[in-house]
Amino acid sequence: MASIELQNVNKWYGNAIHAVRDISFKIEDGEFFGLLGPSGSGKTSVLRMLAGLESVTEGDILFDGVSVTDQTPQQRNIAMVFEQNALYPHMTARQNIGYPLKIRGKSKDEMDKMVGDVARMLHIDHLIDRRASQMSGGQQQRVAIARALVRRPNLLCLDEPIAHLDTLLRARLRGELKRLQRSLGTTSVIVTHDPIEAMTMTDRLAVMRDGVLQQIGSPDDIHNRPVNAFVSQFFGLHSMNLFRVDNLKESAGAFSGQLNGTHVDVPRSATGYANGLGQLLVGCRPHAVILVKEGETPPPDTFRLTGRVYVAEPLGEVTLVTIQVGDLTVQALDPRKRDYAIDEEVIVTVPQSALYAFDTGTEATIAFGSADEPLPTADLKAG
Amino acid sequence: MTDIAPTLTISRPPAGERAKREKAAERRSTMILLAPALVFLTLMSIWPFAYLLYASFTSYQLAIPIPIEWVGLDNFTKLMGGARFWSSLGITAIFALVAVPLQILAGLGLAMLINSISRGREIYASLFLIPMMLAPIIVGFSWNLFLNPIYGPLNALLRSLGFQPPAWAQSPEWALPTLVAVDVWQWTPLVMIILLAGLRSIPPRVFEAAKVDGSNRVQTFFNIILPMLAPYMVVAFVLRFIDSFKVFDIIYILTRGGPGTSTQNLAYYTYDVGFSRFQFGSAGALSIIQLVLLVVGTTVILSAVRRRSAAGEGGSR
Repeated sequence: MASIELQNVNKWYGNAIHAVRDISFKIEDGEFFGLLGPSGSGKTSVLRMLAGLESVTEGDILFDGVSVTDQTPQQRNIAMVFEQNALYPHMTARQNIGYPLKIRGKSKDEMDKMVGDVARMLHIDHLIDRRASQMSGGQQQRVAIARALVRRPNLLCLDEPIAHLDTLLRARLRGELKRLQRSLGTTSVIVTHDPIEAMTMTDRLAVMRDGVLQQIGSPDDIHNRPVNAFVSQFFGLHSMNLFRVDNLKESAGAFSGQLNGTHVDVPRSATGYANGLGQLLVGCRPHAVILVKEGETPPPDTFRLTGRVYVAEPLGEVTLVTIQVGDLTVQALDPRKRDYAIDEEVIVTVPQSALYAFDTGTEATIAFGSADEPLPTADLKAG
Repeated sequence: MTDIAPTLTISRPPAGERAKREKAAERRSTMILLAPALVFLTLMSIWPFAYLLYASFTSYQLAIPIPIEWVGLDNFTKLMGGARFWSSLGITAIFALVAVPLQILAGLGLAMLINSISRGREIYASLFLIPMMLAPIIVGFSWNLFLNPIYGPLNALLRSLGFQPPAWAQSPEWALPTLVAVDVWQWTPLVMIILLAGLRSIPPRVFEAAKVDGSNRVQTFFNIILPMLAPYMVVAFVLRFIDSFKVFDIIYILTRGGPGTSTQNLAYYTYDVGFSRFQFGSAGALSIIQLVLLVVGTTVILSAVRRRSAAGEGGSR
């Protein structure tokens, strides 16, 4: 177990691709850390550099304050669980799990005990004599995790370890992995493109885009206090709705503007920043949207748009309603069991306190719904 | 069948009857479709083989107009009583059990080397395939020139370095090693390409997993690569084992089985008996012996492999 630090790490593939751009952050000893981003964001490159499978073009990686940048995976004593297909196909589960011990010259008794322990921990002791081809995808990943955990590594690298499993199994392994990590206390880094995985499992996470670190923080921070429009859209079960408001004008201390030719009120919290900008990106999470049907009275003090229902998808507890507002698409989660007809006219309303505002140029967050929330840019610098 | 056909068109026949009719029709079309291939196979393969089998039990001699007589196992016993048969069997065995393993080893080495090249791997692989693409007769002539004791470039080079080079194909000690070397030179590329395909089929993540697990190059080679290549090595071995019985061209061109009969294998001996001395009965018997040896040898190899993999797997794969 170790604390991990990246200092101004850069990765170039050839001269053309700058995959990771000047990234620095620290992972505490025993922490479960997430690297989240869309494909091509550089998150896997960061993990592979941490593991020692990929060279660092520029910068330094420290384990417990000591540079390991030029060390092999073995010297760093890291373990890794790959996406899939990384078991040795000619070996049984037992031989796979025991391989790291075997090449370290452990005695057979010692090996049997350690393999047995970790196999029980992952509930695969009954599969121990099967080969990879005789196991399901989930069982194979369990064996891969067992192989990684059998020798207490300094760092456990998880490269989308459960991304290829079916939904139920994924949910189950998420929980199991989290418990295992907590009970073993192994510093772990998971790469994922799934915000749910990142949110549910990790202590802290880093969101990346095009090789650039966007934000570091707890899942709560990143969900509720995104630094920019990208993070707000990428992170969360449902993407944030974004609207571009033009022609900002002040009247009686509040700002309003034009959206698709409609007059809208701008979040009050953004008032201080909206001055002189002329335009803003306004955002809200789908669960904050309150849909108002014809004949109902819209709640007071809300951001309002009129649109037509494109499609309504019942999700059991809630209904996901997609609304077409001019050429914009807005998503709303309606907890009330109501029916929506296609093309039905509805009013999209969002309480002022649930509105986010972003700069149209830099996409940086200008304001959260309530003005007293601190701006997240400070967190990023601290992280 | 024809007399009940009209009634069948009126009332639906019982299910069993209908199934039988369909089956018969299917069998008929199967036979029609297979017939050309069967006729061809019979004419080109089965009939000659049957004739060969028959000839091996007769006194058939092409050059001497004596009546063909059934001699039973005479041809076989005479052959096996002669020293020449055993010496040519030994030569065949050397090709099968020395040259082929050498090809597997060299092929494995080359495949590993080429697989480690990151740029232009295909170009190197194709260059290495050239020996295999040449007709054996060309291979033979090229090596004949190359190894010529007087004008050959190899001996010129060796002499200039101060060695006293042997006469290679014409020397009693070096003739057989020379032939083995030429066979290895020509057929290593085949093994290489099979093993290269095997290497390329190993998912790269397996190598990375090994690296992460702390496996060094030697450990990875013996614990991961070699076992995963084993099935490919068996295929290469069986293919080359069968071919090794048929080595003829390079012997014919480089040594003519000589000096004396020291480099005559069973194939060359068969040619000599059949087409120099026209003793078709004996040549037939020799061919049958080789066939039996091949079938037995291949069966032994494959069943050994199957037994091992069944024991190792404890199930199907």
